[in-house]
Amino acid sequence: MLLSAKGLKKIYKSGEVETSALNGVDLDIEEGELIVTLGPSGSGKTTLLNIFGGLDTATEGQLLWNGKDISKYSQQELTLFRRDNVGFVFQNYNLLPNLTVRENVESGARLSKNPLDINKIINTVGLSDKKDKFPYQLSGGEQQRVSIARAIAKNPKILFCDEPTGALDEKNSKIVLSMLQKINNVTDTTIFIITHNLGIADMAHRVIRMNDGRIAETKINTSIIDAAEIRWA
Amino acid sequence: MNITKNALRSFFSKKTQAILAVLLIIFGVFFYTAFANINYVTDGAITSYDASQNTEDYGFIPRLKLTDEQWEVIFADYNIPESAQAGADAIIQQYQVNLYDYQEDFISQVESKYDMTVETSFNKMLSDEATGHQYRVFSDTGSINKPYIVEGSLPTTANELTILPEYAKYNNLKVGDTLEINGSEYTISGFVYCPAYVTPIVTTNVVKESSVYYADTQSIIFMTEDALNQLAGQASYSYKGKANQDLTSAEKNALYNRLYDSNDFEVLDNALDSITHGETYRKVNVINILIIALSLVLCGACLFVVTQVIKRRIEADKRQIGTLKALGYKSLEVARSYCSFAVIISVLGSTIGCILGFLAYKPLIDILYKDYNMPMNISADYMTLAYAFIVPLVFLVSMSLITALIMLKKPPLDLIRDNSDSKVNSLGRWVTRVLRKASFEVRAKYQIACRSVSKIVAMFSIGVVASILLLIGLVMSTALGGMVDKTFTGFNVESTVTFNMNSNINNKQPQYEDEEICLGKDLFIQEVRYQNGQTLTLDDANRKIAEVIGMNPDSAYISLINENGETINNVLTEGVVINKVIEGKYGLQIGDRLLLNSTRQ
Repeated sequence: MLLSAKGLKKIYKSGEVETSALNGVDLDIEEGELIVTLGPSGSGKTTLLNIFGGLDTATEGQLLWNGKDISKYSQQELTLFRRDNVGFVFQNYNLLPNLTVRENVESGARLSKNPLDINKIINTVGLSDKKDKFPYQLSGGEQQRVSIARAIAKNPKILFCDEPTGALDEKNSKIVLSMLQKINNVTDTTIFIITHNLGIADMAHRVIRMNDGRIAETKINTSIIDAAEIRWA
Repeated sequence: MNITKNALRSFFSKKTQAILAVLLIIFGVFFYTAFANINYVTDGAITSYDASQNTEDYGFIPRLKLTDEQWEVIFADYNIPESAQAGADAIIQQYQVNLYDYQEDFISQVESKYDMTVETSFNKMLSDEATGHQYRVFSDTGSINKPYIVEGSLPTTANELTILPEYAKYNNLKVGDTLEINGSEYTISGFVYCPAYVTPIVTTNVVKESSVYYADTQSIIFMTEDALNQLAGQASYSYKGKANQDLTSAEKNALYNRLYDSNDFEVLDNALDSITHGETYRKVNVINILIIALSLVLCGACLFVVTQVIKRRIEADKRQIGTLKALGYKSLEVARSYCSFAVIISVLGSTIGCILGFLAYKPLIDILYKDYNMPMNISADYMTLAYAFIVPLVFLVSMSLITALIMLKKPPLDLIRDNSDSKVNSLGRWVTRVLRKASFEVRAKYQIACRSVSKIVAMFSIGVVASILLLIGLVMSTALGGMVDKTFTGFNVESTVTFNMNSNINNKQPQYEDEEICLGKDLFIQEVRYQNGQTLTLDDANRKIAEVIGMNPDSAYISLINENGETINNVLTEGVVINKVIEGKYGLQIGDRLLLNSTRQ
């Protein structure tokens, strides 16, 4: 088991008002899985991704990484955890605007003791002719591909993608999703995607539906379709 | 490396902030290196000059204390008849008696009592009738105040002499050239400084704005003793004393006080208060204070500006920083990347500042010390280089690092989600409350203004810092500009006055020729009001009879002495002092009033 959550709860406090974002989540993630998490806004999927990725901590419950409890880690320990194991792809790309494509990818690779070959990754995401361009010179789809390249350059064990196609059109979305699928297939990297788009669920090994801070449904896909053939919703 | 590159590109996208920070460092480092080197050179120069030339500690003229037996000897030596044996002054004047030859016993007592070596010093004043150039002529005798040879050698024959290098420069003279004085031709054997005299002409009245004496027309000359004796005119005598032990400044001052209290001396000068020493050290101290004060202010300004720049950059780059932390970068790594800005501007500013400082300190020495007639062995103090690089670097980097670390303490999610753009500051909230009944336009206008409050504060702060720097610049320029004048004069004058060359120590009756004593230019007596109520108004023809110079009552160098030998500088705070000529001409008494008028505003 790569990641295991038991009874995860997250409560946000604002003054005297308490908001419960997760209400006891139990979930196991196997190595090499591609999981898509669906759910309406406020269902807790981003909170769950942040806690799984070590960006946030749970108020209650246990989170095991390869059997080791990381739920009580300090900020410094979480930093090292993210550095060694986790990659992120954000909805708004979050590239470093003053670095070129190559430099952005390098900034991810430098964190790892065992990075992937930068040129190969840039080739894989189809940006070898734009590796010296700055983010503002790229389209949204291209920027998201750079973001993916940066995330996988450090050869993470798990890749968390928060609405990776949320800001893209269908064509660019399919390119990005194809890349994620390819990475999952080739490198066996575990991928955890959260999205509003129901169509994306068809490319996942497992689909999780969240509602009101709980896992409402878990479905294992028996037939996985290619990302390029997704029925866009 | 890449995140450092990202931070640097982010900084230098705001060029004005970066340039302002670099300029501040350049100015600070330039000021420090230039003036610290000036002090290093001058401090070293005066110390080594003293040591190498065995400079006097005290100059003095003893009070005349001759016994009846000594007078008998003098009468015999000078064939003075009994009928003429009246007062000492008359004898001295009429028979040109050199009484210093009869003071040997007293000088021996001084040497043993105060543990010092005393040597006689004599010189003659010389004025070339053709050119009007003025010279103070010495011969090289004794071990105290040894002449300092800048070029060439001391004269060995009666038709050789040395001059001051400045005089040579102004008159385009070289070693080996000929100088004609009153029809006699002398070969210039060298350029030489005299440690006891900064200015060739002693110096009560010579005041210039840009120079303390007329380097183009006045010089100190060294001749052989024979040549000096052959010159017309009577020699001025004094004594130069040098303590036999190495004394500290405090010990020298203590010994000076003992000498002064003994009341054995008509004139007593402490070399530590001389122009060469006193003013050099005073200048060194003033510059040291300025260095410390301005360096502190500039250092503070640099720190303020650089930390503000870094703070603003980090605020602007929060989302990027959050992303980096999410990827696994540690806060220290990110903070370090932002400190690279401080490193670069510090090294850049220090380098340019050092280059400018090292280029400037030699010309500045020429300006500040050009009249000191003192050898300046220009050699840089390379420790200033180390300080100029290390101090700004350490201060800026450590402050930047602390600032960055404090700001990067937040977890990555908070930084990524930063919604500072949509936040309303406390001033904005307060304005909203106050203006809740105002129209939308009014509320919107003031809300937008409140969003720029940090910019307004930043601009105000920069304005304050710039004003402080400007003020310091003005103070410095005034202080340095006036330093030469104040150094040598102790006067507070507004016009040049002419020194009367024809008075000397043994000639008590001044020869004023066509000039009154202490003639100025534009200030003159318009009206005299006598104590009996009478008034005399002077017409234009008679107005320019006497003019006035100002003098600082606290002057360390120039004292008003009455006929009893007492210093009466304090009377200057109560009124004006006039000379005998004016007193006689208008029958003035103490208490009469003069109405002074100036043609200048």
